[in-house]
Amino acid sequence: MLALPVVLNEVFYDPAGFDGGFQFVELVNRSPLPVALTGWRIDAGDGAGPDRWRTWWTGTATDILLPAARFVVGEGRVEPAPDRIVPIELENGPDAVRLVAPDGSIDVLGYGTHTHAPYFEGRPAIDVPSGFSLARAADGVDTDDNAADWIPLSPPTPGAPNRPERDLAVVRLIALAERVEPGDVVALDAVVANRGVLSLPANEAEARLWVAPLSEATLPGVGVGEDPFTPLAAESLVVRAALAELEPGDSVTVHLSFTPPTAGTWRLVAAATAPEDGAPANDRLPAIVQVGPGALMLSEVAAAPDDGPEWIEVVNRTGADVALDGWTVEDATGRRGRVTVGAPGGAFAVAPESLVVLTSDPAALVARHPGLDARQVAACTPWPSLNNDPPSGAPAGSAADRLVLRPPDGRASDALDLPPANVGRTRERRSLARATREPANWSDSAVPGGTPARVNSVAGGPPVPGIALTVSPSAHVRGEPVLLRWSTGFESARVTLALYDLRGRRLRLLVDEDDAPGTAGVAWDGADDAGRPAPPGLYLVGLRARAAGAVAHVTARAWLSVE
Amino acid sequence: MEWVLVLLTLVAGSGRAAAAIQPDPGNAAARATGLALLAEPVGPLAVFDQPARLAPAASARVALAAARTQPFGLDALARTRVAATYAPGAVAIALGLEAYGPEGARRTRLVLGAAWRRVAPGSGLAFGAAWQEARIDVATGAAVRAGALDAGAAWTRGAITIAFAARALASGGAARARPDPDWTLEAAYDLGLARLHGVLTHDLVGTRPGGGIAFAVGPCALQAGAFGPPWSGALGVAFSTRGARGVRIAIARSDHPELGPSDAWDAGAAW
Repeated sequence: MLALPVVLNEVFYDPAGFDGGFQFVELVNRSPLPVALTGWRIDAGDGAGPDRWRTWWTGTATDILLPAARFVVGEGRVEPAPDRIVPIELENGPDAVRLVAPDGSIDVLGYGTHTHAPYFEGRPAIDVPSGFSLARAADGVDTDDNAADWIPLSPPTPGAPNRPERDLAVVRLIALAERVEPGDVVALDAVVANRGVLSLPANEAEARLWVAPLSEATLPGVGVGEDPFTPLAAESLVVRAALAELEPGDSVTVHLSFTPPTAGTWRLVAAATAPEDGAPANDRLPAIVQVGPGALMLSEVAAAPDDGPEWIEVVNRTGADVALDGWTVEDATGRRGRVTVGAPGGAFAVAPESLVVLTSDPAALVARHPGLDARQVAACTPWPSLNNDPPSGAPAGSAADRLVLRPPDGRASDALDLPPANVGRTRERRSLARATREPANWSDSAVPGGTPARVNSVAGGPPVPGIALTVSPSAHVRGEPVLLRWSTGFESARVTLALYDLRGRRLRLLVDEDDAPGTAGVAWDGADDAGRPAPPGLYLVGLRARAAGAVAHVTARAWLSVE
Repeated sequence: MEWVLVLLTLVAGSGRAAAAIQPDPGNAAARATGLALLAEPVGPLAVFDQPARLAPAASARVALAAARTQPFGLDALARTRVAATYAPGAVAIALGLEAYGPEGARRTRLVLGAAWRRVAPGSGLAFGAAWQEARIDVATGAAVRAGALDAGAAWTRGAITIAFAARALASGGAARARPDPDWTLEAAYDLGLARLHGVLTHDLVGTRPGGGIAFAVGPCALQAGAFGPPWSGALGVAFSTRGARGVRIAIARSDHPELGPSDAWDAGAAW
């Protein structure tokens, strides 16, 4: 094949979404002289059969291509506007495009799996996914091997070099945790690559991190995967990190972090900047991180019911109704169940401070819990069956499963690592004011079968004045837990709760932690610190609370009887 | 016999509690001096904890006494004791009634004890035994019953007194009503105005040391002590008329580091 002065340089045949209007073919003049394109033509080849070429553009006397310049033939919605606008109907592979010179010399690009040799040079190029163009890896360089010469490129670059001299790109951004608690550091790994021809000296390029809080009202327009390039306010730039020297093709992982000052949903944009970057469109990638709970919080989990289907209870902590349609429940494997409108028994708007139960079979759950109002139960299918025990071979102390609650936009509204399940006992949240991830914030329900759509047996309401401690029931029967509930009257306090025998010797330390306002509870299973059952008799429960920053403490005592 | 009792309770004390843990032995004076039963006067209330010390002073034949202990400020667990002693000579007999615990889980016991003592100049020896009938109310409204044998001995020579008391050496009846065995081994050293006490109490959970000092100033006695773990400090004061006959009243407070204060008082009369 003769060396053509003009060759195909980029072909965009499968735009994302509707194809119409965005397809183009770019030519490049690799000779030192202008080339008149009179009589040159571009053909589309149908790989379904041999010799099925169809010409859709032919050059005229006005089509002049200057040295090293590009010439774009494309549809009307291509930006920047093509040099020539023509209708194009390129198809996904196996298909081909060829450029034919007036003397019969040709440059062919075949993509996909071909069986007819005239449709490609050497080996065909891959069939790229939607949104990618096929572009020469080095502008104008043709080795007569489509597979080697052509690479996927996104976004396409009509009229611009496929590989600029200087191009720093963020190719991947990973938020190490998509759901963190207030006060936590949000950590991200940004993979930055030098996609240009030239190396980038040390300290010339840098990585940056912008952050911005998002209100629920603005979320639908800027969800994950949408509008990642919207400029952010300058004052939200929180990290600037100089990069080491990067050779062409090299990449580096940059660790970025910041501490959100408030709870809520935060949008993060990682960017890599370099002077005279020839492809600024690939400089940024966004991520969404949920700080603190989202609109719905996990309140109770029945991972191992003794009868009836698994279920979870969620609570609306916002001041407005939350539509349940499209919310998902996900397990550690990523398997998701989706709440769907129209499912039997569903109640699909959760009122503020209300509880709703999600399960695979609302009718069966209502049958299992006769007092349960069917209007507070929503169907979620397919249900991601929750493991009762950690996977075999997992390290000691591993979670049995992980539960993630997501709104329709995919954020993590709440997430919980589930401990090994106690069959027949649900896990109840003790305090909505405390972090979901705190193991001490969850306890086995004191009620066999749990409390679906009812106030948790181990949690309570708003703070009450003074310190209080209650025991229910006061007589412990073997096998039935005793519910110990307390309130300190403080906004925040260090709380110790323990059981003692009549001689004042500590039998079991139940709680030793920082407590949030409001009442809280814990269930005692009748065992001592070593797990042995306490002998029958009378026992004391001692509560000590020291307000944050205080020296003195307050105490409360109660008794209980082990039958 | 002392060594037999020691052996029996050491053997019994090797396991875990099987039934009800009882409150600490002793009344106000004992609590104030680190659970030293020897800090209490001989007389009726000893029938509950140290039956060797039932006999009142030689010149008194009859004694009555009552005590109340409120552990950790909880009325529901307050323990009340009343007892009477008749001692016509070297032998004394006593009858006592004790109750504690909340309604539905109340513990009562009726104790009948007898003691013998021999007093000589500069020395003394006493033995005692008691049988207790215990009853525990359960939540269903029923009650379970059991009986247990207590024993004690006390020996004095000069300024030193050594005593040993064992409760529930033997028991029968409903398992959940049978009190767990425990023992108290103690020594006291008389300095004149002051008396030093050292105590070991042992039950199925473990052994706890205690000790204290008592000062006598006229009709008033001031007491201080500690016991643990967890270590609780205690203070007490007692007033009594001089001589074997008369009246006595004592109050004490101990302070548990986590559960707070416990109060105790006792009062008695002998003639």
